[in-house]
Amino acid sequence: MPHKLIHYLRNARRETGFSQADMAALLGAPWKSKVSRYERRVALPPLQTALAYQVVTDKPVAQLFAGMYDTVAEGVRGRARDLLSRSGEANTALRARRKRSLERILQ
Amino acid sequence: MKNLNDKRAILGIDPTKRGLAFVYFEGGRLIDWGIRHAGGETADFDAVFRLCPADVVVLEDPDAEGSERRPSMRTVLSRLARAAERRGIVVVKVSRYAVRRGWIERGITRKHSAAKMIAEDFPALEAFLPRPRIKAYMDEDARVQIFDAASLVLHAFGTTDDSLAA
Repeated sequence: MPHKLIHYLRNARRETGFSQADMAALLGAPWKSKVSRYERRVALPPLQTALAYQVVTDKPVAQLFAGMYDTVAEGVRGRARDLLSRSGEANTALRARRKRSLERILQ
Repeated sequence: MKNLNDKRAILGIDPTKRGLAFVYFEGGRLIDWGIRHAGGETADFDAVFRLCPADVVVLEDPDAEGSERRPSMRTVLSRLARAAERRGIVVVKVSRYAVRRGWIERGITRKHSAAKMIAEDFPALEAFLPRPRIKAYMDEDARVQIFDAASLVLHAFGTTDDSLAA
């Protein structure tokens, strides 16, 4: 089931029972409007804030940003497919390991 | 905890004088809910749709048998349906009378009791339970509309127990 939203920060916050003001305090944001902007998808939180969300909500970043994760993963798989098709024979241990890694990405 | 039977992205909307009350389900799970007011039903719909890009919109059918909606609200509902269709979204219309009949069959005759039952199925909504209307002259709590929107969706698609679905 593909995710329609790029992230589920609002849902994750509500599950914890925190208000936007609580969340702003926990994330170290100066105002709760920052949290509101993230939740309305007006702005994307930086990596440090995304990791803080993981700590606060106890959910992995990939799950919090499920829609974005799907898009990124699809892009990576496409590039891995290209790379694999352009790869030569895996005649050395290093090349065999590289091929296995590409195949793992495509699984 | 329950899940919606239909796993598509579903948006239930109940228009009110205070804006659009909405509930949003994705993959059968309740994801978002609230009331949005951006000034005018089309602007409100755009604001809600920006937050919740649904595949299906569930609205009340103002032309259904037993509908008691006033003419201005019928116009709002048809404008909302048109706005959704313009975006290529599937519109499901549900009769409010049928929803009420469904609750009555389960022994529920008051909106507040229906809201309590919905909150039992979707605990995330518990904090949003409206205060019961004690006197007839008191205004209805605005949060009732969120549960009305949820009622429309639940009536249209039904639910299964989370533990059974897993």
